[in-house]
Amino acid sequence: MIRGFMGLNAQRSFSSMSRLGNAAVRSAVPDLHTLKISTNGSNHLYAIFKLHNMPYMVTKGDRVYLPFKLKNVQVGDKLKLNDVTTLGSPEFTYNDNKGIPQDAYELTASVVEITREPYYEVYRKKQRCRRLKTFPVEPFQTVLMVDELKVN
Amino acid sequence: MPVKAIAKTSIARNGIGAYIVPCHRISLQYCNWGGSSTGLRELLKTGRLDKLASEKKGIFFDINKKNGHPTASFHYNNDTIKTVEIANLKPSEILAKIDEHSQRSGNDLFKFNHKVLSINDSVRGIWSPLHTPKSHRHKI
Repeated sequence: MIRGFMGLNAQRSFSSMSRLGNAAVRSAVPDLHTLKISTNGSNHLYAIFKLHNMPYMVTKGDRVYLPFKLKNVQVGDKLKLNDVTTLGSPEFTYNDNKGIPQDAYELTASVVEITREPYYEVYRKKQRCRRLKTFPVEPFQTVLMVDELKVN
Repeated sequence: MPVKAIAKTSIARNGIGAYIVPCHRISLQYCNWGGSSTGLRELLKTGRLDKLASEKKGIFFDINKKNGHPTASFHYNNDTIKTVEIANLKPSEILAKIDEHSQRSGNDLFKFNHKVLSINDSVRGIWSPLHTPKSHRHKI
């Protein structure tokens, strides 16, 4: 189960049951019109979303560099990021550490690139052995681009 | 004097709105005789490459027969061509190589030591002690 996002493409489906379930249970969508008015048409709006419980602070058009290969995802997919804890403008912030209800905002990101970090080598030394072990490393990197961020 | 608006050019950002896959052409080169092309020849024979090509609709595949070790060249829309050696690889390994390189953007690999890369102005601005009135400044 992937926590923090959901695929928007019809042919792919991602589960994020825990987050969806919480949203259904939580009754009221907060009134965010003061926040909405102060964002200059979402130009001055930022959000902090969580992916695998790691927070990322983004505005519209930002690239998010994930130091791993996001599972079950291909380049060009659109993801609905559904674990947002903070929405903010220059004047106001709305924060809910359990997750803001999904109806209150819209935050989507598209998978722009699945690539790797440059090649490097890691050396490990064992006790009582004069030789170093060399491990080649070329970790995966996933790049997301935030293409929609607004307060509903 | 009339007031002129400040011109602001839009910045092309692939992925906002429309997204175009950067890899637009993959050219595979194989040899009909050499043993290092066995994997690629098998891919061509069994039709698995046809299936892959039909799945990746935005990418043009071209196959060349040429002496020497087989290669796969990936053409990206930033005018770069990346050539990958696929000699002595199994068909599944070749498919994995194609899948990996076709999802790249063609830019040089780089390590980004931060989480988010932004070209927008900061929403909250940068805090500076000198931009507050003198009476409100932080005193040490």
